[in-house]
Amino acid sequence: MPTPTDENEILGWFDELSNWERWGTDDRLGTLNHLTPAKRIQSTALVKEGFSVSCSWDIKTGQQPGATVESQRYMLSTGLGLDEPDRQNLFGAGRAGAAQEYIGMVFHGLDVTHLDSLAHLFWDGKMYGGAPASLVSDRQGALKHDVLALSEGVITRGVLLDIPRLRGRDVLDADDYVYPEDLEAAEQAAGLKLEPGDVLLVRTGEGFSRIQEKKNYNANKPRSGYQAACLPWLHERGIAMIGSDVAQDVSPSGYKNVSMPIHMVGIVAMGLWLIDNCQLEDLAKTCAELGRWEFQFMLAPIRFQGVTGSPVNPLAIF
Amino acid sequence: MLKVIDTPLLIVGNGPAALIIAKLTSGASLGSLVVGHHSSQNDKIITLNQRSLEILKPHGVLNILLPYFLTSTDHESNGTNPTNAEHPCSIKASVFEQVLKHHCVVNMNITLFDGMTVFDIKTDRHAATATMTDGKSHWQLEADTFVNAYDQPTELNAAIAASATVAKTILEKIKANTLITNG
Repeated sequence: MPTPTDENEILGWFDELSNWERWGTDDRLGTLNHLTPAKRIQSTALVKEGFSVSCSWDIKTGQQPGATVESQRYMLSTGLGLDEPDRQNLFGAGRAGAAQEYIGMVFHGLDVTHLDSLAHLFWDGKMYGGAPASLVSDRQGALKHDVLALSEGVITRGVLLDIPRLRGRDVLDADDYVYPEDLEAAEQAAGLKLEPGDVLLVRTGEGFSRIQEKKNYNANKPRSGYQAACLPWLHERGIAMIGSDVAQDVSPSGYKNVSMPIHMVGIVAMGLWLIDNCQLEDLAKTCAELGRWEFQFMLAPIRFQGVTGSPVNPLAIF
Repeated sequence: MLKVIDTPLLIVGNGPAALIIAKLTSGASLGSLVVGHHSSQNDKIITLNQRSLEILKPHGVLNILLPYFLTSTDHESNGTNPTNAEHPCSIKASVFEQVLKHHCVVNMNITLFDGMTVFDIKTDRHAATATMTDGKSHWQLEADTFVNAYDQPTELNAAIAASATVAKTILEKIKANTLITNG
């Protein structure tokens, strides 16, 4: 059985796995540089059935399990009263109605399916590429590495690796971590191999618990995820973006100084793009039914200027 | 195999002090693991006193509480009578704890787990080992510093004052140890 990586080794990865200046001094794409035009075109060959599957949870207002702040919806105008009998005979502009709302949310956290931009995390006061952390300020938001780096979206091959399926269970126990050996065993079971420019989605089965337990689901608890040992593997394979049904990192990681190594080394040193809190239950079901664990993957974040990520609805297209 | 969780500061127990100590020490970049916290407070309205405000302000806590302080209109509808000018920082104790908890959850230095059981706590001076379980898996917790929040007051102003003392002691102890280590 693999053992967790030593913390000193992880601290060394901030240099050893660094992609700073690999793609130029002003790079904004990080690991998405592995995604080439040829790779995008290749992914179209995976569209054979003609349907798509969402990898996102619904965003609901009110207190949600794992949400740090409740998402808010304030209706600016509604349809209330428009079906009252005394309005029925109106004509012209009075017949038209419209609903509009204001939405407020904190998408980072353990609830909303979201993309982390490379401005989301800092290590030793620096962002990916060495930009000072202070370029993210209360007045300006993120002046560097905001989510606009992905304005053109991401289209490539996506691969789902279903780890609980390998173990013959619905959900991984919280202390059952995902190691490179598991990723390779799942690759073998799926009959494929991850390549540069791919998006890797890893299922731990937490989505199954979330669906089963509904409102009682507790996200502030230990959960499985990618053990830090996966970082060199992701680096060597040239993975463009990763996602999972948890917030990637195992929790608790057990490390004193780098409590979230996949986030810290991944985002800050490697420029790795992360999609936290995916809903992978529908995708896993589809993949199992089709016997196919690869698909075209599509994601288009909202073009928020100065924002450190975006709520997203990643799509798997078959 | 029992997974070992190494944490600089382990805070076990209930009440606002668990969160306040985690928040005050996180400002010095001290990582903490808060286990077993659930709200101990009711809807009683508390006015934060001068000492509480002095403790919380430099840590940015007053800013996040600002939208939740009761206005004079709130006081009227609650049947409590102080005017806003006389008592500018009144808040429901339960709301204080809920807001601070959200604030701690998003803090990179604080790990907060709900619904866990901690047992076999063994303390040696301030350091501690313990076992944590979610009912299925078990973790061995190893902490340089241990705080039993059950020992702290639950009344809000008293809890804030006591937490400040605890946080100061923890940080001074670490500083002294670091100086010794660095020779």
